[in-house]
Amino acid sequence: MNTNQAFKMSVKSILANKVRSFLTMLGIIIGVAAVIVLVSLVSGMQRQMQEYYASLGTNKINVSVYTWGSPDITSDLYDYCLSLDNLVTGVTPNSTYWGTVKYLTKTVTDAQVYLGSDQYSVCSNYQLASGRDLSYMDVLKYKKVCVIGSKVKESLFNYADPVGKTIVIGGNSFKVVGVYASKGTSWGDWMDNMIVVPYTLNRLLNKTTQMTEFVVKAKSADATTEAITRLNGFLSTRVDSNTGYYNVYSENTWQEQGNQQTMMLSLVLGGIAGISLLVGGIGIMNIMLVTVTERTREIGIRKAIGAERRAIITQFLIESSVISAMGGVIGIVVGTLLTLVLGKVLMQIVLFPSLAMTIGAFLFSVVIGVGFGLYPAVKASALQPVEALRAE
Amino acid sequence: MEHFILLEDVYKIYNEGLESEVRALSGVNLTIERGEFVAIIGSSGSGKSTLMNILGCLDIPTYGEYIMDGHRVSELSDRELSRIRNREIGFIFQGFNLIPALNALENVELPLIYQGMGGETRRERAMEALDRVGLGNRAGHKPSEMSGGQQQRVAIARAIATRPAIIMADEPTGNLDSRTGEHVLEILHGLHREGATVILITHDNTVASTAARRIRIMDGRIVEDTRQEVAV
Repeated sequence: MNTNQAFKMSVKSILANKVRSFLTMLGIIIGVAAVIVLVSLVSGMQRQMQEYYASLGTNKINVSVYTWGSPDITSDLYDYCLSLDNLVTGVTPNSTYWGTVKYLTKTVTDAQVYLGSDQYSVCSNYQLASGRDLSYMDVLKYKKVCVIGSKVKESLFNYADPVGKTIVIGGNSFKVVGVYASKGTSWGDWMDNMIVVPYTLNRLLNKTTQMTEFVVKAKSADATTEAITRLNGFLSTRVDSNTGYYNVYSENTWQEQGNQQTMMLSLVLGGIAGISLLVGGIGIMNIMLVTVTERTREIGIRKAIGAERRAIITQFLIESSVISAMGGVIGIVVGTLLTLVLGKVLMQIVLFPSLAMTIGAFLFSVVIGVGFGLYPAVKASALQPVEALRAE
Repeated sequence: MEHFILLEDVYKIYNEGLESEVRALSGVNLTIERGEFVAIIGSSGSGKSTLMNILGCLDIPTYGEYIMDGHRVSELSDRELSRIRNREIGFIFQGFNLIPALNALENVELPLIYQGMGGETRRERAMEALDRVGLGNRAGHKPSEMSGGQQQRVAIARAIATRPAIIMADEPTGNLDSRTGEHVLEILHGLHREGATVILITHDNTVASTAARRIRIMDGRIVEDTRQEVAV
């Protein structure tokens, strides 16, 4: 008997018991769909997180300095960082100002105004779209200029060119010299709803010259660690622990923790889904054993008219694998649809299960069918024809 | 001379040594030659079905030797036994034993599938066998859609589709009314005339009277073995 014949025979007996076959498949369908959905969602999450970190910029060191009475350390920190040129690519204050921004009749109230250095865009990972960036001279000479994010440009200028126009921030006029390109992440456009002005103008906006927040951009992950040590050393000599405190931390640490967490999540969820696949496999074994008992007489007939043991094993194995594989295919379809819908609803992104996982899920379900079908098949083939024929 | 079928002191004992021990066959000696038409007669529980199961290689003797066409059946592997059941023997059962999910044609094709015969030839052979029993027009019917007589004819078609040397029929008329039963017997005689060896198991003397050789079995032993002239 060839495989093609055995295959046809199996499909026939699966179709003869449609409801039962479907219920048997259900275990595999749910298992495969669960694995696909959970793994896809977690990897989507991971991707989104990485995208988020990438948009923030990697190897960023945040420095906070709060002092009471000590002199402002901004220019010292700036100079110190420049001296670390083998470790650091940029340094900027990162203090903010909240207030209304106006251009002619248009007003924006929710934009974040950063007080930065000429290296602000390097540190916070912005690319220039048009015009020019802040310059060292702008900072040094208290120039009332600004560079705006794409969201602010859209709100105030729509499609007009903002470069050279004057906007009003908190009652002070600033000339727009450049526009940053949109970061274009799936995390929304709040990162584009920003304006950066020379930090020396803080005395106009926040009415103070004291800076508390800084961002230092390191050259690499290794340089980040080294730079943190150096910065801690530097700050310990400048900030008196009785009148202030400082804090130096890297976002790399967050990212690693975040990645570890999602990895963990993916293992745990994948494991749970895997257990449901195992239960599905046991369901198949159970039904195949029932089938063997039910069809004892049929097996007897087949043996009486010349079926070898191998033919009986093949028949039952193909039957269980076809059930399992069909379940796998339906599970893949259901899982893919669910992934698409849930990705859209939960994360606002279009998520597709990876091809490797889809193929893997299908092969795994076939393996489950063969694995759990083996015992019932061998049991069926071992029946003595005369005893099998006696069964009712 | 080598006999086609030779049973030497065959015993079939169930639950041997236990209180519930049953001797279905106790010391059967029997030879059957090619081309014979043999009726094995016995009442219920006499051991006649056990005898057929052993003759048909569906069961093996507890003691004694069964030699078929020179082969010691006890020494054959599952594969060789399957091959003999498939090619040498055609079974007709009292309960028809058709597979309910398959239609008449597919049931008849089944032994040919196990032979590895390919699509077209197999279909032709199966149709030929169905035509032979007068059911060519019922090929697409499932067993549940046919009368008992039709089902038994499908079973006969299945038995003869492989053109076996021996036809073994266990009470083939048992579940049928007398007219259909006669029709089934006619088919068996027709096959015999064409050269097949026919072994017919029955409890019915009228059925047995159509056979040239009658073997009576009682309590697991052969008690009578007679030959007679029958009108061909």
